[in-house]
Amino acid sequence: MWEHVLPALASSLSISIILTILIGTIAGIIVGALPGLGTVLGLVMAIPFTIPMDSSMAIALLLSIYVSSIYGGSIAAILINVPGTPQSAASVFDGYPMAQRGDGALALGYATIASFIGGVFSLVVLVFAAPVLARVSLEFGPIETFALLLFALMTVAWVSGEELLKGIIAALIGIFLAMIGTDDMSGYSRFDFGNLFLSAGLTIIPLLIGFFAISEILFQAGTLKDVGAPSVKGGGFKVAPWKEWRKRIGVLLRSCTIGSFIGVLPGTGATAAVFVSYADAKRRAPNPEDFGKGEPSGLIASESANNSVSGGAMVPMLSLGIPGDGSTAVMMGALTLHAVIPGVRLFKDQPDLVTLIFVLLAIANVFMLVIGALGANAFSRMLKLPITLLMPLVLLMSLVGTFAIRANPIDLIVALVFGVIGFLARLNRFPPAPIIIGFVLGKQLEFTFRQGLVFTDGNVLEFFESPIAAVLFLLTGLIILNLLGLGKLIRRIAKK
Amino acid sequence: MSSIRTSSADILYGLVIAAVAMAFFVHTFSDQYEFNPLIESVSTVLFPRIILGGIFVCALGLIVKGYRNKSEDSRLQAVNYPKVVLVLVAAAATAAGLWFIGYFYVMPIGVFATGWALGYPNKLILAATAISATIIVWAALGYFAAVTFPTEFRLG
Repeated sequence: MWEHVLPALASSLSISIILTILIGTIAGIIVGALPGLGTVLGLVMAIPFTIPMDSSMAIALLLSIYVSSIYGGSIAAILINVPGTPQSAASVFDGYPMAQRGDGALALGYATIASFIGGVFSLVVLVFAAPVLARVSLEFGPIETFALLLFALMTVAWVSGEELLKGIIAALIGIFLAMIGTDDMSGYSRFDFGNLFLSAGLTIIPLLIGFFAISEILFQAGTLKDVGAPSVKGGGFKVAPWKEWRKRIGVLLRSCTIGSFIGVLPGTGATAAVFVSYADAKRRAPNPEDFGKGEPSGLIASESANNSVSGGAMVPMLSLGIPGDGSTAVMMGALTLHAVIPGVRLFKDQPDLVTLIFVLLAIANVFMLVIGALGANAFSRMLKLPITLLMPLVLLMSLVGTFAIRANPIDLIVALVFGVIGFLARLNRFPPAPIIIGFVLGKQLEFTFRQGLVFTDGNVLEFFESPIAAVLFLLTGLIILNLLGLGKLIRRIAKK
Repeated sequence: MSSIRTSSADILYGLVIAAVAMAFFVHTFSDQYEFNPLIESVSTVLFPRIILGGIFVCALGLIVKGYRNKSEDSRLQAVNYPKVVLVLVAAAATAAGLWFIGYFYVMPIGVFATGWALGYPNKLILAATAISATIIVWAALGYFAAVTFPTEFRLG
């Protein structure tokens, strides 16, 4: 891998890539800062426009949006008391009180630098952990891979939403959607009902645009109470003195570690990381009573954790082909459009591309720091845009983006239909991430299952003879037991 | 704005999901999926049947959960359904117009109509935004990035 660093740096520092990262960073901060948009929506809307690009530019654009949108959420959290992204929910606790007392610029300074350090920390984790995990997964056959994918999906279903049952239903629906169209193994067309377009299968982009963009527009339409512009408290960028940072190095490093570790676990994502990190920082602080009243350590804990998830979540995505959260699921879908298939083969067959991804991620973090600092005032003013003006623009981008895939009107219909389904799912708190991850992993899940059956002559019990698979099936079973309430029963019996 | 009880929503969603899953499950027994051991070693509908069975069972679980929680008063978020339908119609009309009439004619109207349906108060700014966004997006993506735009007139 190290022999590819210099060539990767050379190709990354071309004008086109630098310009792409610049555009991606600005776009990412904007979508992150504006409440109602967010990382996933930003990525979803960007994907169709990466189609005419070569894979390096496409990866550069997506990574820069990914990294900078997570940071962008802190701007709204600090200045208008509304997290721009779910990942910035904890930044509200201390960021907004700082803005209220006139320290908005200082808060943005803390958030920007903490986000940068979190991003770089997780990149180091990614560089060292991903190749190791990829080598380990070389030992996996189809049965082990099937067990791992199933476990990952159940974990995603468990932690993505408030209710495990709805998460599992969502994951299963996602897997089913992946089976519509021609079966790669037998050549049969399934669930197409004689429709030529359905026999080609559903493509991920209209699905993503429907589930995230159009459903968001419908959700805002149905629940929006205040159509006016929000009141913005301050703005700007100011760096705290070194002695203030020195006091908080422990918080910073612990939060980065928590974020990176949680990011590696499939399905957990940045939202879980920030709350765990915030709680940890508060518990260990000499002044816990100051948390929630504008204590910079709270803001640092939240912002460093959420950006350190970015590299961690890419570890299972790159090395195993398993997305760590909704954002990496979207990225995986985008990468496959450019014939980049994440997983163990990526490290073996395209180590130069893997190194390029690492280098681009590093550059994207640097751009996030610089653009975030220089553009703080502009991004703050932009928060005054009302959502009723933004959503029609989201619709414009969504429809254009859907059409851009293959100039097929059926994709527009699919996007609208899944927009309605996504809206209805959201109303009753069905989490969207398991649907998307189920769709992304569905074909591979089926393929490994059927391959396993061929190897074992149809004997499913032989699946448990592999120790790795048996452990993963056991863990999956424990998650399902939790669903049936048997987890609580077992704990009650154990207590007696 | 109206909202329904979570328990009722769970029962309704459970019934719909179970019905759809059962319909697809029954469909997998149709002639087009007849197992041919000469071509396939594992039936092409085995895995779909497992998944659909899982969806059906989980949907039944959702119905049971809804009935068990009937006494609870928690409700779904209140939603202005007429507004949702209005915005959906605007979006669908824009999509249809995009295909049959073309981007430059339909998109400014579609963006304006959606903003109006959402309740943006200043119609002049909305109109200006609709027109300028249409041009800027086309210039940035259609012209410089060579993204395909639906510009043909297909009516008649």
